[in-house]
Amino acid sequence: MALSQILPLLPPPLQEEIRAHTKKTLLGRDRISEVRLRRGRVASLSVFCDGYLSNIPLSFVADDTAIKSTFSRAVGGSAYAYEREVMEGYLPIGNGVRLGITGRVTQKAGGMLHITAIDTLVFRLPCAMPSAEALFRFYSESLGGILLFAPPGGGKTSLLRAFAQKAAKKERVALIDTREEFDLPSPTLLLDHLCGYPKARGAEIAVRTLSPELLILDEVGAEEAAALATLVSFGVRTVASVHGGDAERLLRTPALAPLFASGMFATLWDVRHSRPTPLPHGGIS
Amino acid sequence: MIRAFGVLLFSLFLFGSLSAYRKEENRGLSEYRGLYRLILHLSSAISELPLPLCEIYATFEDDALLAAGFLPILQKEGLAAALSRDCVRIEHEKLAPFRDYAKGLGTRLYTEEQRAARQLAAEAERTLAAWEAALPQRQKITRTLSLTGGALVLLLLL
Repeated sequence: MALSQILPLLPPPLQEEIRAHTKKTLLGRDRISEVRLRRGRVASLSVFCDGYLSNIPLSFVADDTAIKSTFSRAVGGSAYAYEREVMEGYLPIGNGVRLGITGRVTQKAGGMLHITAIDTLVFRLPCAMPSAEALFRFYSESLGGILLFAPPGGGKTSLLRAFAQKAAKKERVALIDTREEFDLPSPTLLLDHLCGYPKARGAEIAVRTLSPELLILDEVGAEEAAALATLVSFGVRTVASVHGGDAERLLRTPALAPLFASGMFATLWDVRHSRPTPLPHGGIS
Repeated sequence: MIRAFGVLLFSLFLFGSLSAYRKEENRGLSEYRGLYRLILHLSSAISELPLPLCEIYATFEDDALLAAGFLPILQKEGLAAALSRDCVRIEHEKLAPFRDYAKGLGTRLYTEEQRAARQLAAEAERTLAAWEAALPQRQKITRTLSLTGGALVLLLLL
C-alpha cells in the first residue's frame, strides 16, 4: 500500500526500475522500507530483513530537476510552504509514510540554518503493521513503563502505532506525536492525539488536562530525557521508544540515565525480537 | 457609383478593423495587468503565510482573466496549464517570462520561490509600463486612421 502510494511521486524512470526490480527479484513490496534519491548519485532501496536494513543500489541517478519535482509532488506542488519541515529534515506525507530531507545549508547569524538545495530525499515506508499482541499482553500483565528500542528503521513507530490502537480500546491514552507521523483514523479509540507538541511539554499538558491512564511517546531523545524524567511523579504509565541497537549500550548511555534512574521505565522492549528485558533495580547497571 | 460603393466598403472595413484592433489591444493590456496582479498576489502570499498554491489561486480575482477563461483553468490546473491554453490575447514574447516562471513554480524552496516571483514582478512591471506608455501613441494612430476613413466615406456620400 505505502509503496504504491509513493511510486507516483517518483520520477517515471525510477518508478519503472522499482517495478521491474520487485518483479524480477520477487522482493515482497511490503519488505521495502525506504526509497532513497540522491542528487548526482544512484538511487537505492532499503529492505528490511531480519531486523536490519540492507541496501539495494539502483541505476537511476537523480538530477536537480528530478529532486525538485519529486519533492514538489510529495508536498502537493507547493515546496516553498514547507521551509520549516525541510529545515527539520523530516516531513510526514500521509498513511505513515515519512519523507527525510537533507541538503546544503548555510548558517545565518544567530546559528540559524538555511537550506539552499535539497540533495537527498528518503521515503520511509511504514513497516507492515506489526502485531502488538505480545507487547500489549506484557503491558497488561506487568507494572511500570516500557521503553521500546530498535535501530533506525527497525519498526518502533509502527509497533507503537499498533500498540496505541490496542491500548486505546481499553484505556484513556494520550499520544504525544511531536513529528505528526501517527495516522490513527479510527473514531472509536479512547485516544487523545497531541500533534506537534515537544515531548516533555506535551506529556505535561496531557497529564494535567486529559488525565490519561497511559502516555505514549515516540523516539525519546537525549535532549528531553531529563525533562521527561520529572514526569514520573505524575504516576502515569508510559510507553515510549528510543533509538538503540542493544539493551546493554542503551543502559550505559549517559544522556538517557535520568530516564532510567527516575524509575519511569521498568522494562526495555526489544522490538526486533519482540521480547522484554527487565531493567536492573534502580534502572542503571 | 460602383467606385463609391467600393470605397465605402473599404472604409467601413478599415474602420471596423481598426476598432477591433484597438479593442483587442485594450483587452490584451487588461489581461497583462491581471497577470501582473497575479504575480504580486503570489509573491505576497508565498512570503507572508505561506499558503499552498491551490489556496493562493482560489483567493485571486480579476475580471479580465475571468472573462478570458484563464481563471477557471488556473484554479483547476495551475498556472502552467492556464498559460499553455492561449486563452489570453497577449503576444508570445510577452508571455514567455510567465511561462518560464510557471515551469518551476512550486518546486522551488521558499527563498528561491520568493526571488523568482519578485524578479518576474519587476520584469512584468517594466513591460507593463512600456506598453502603457506606447498605448496613447498607438491609439492616436488608429484614431487618425479611423477618422480619415470616416472623412473619406463622408466626402464620397456628399
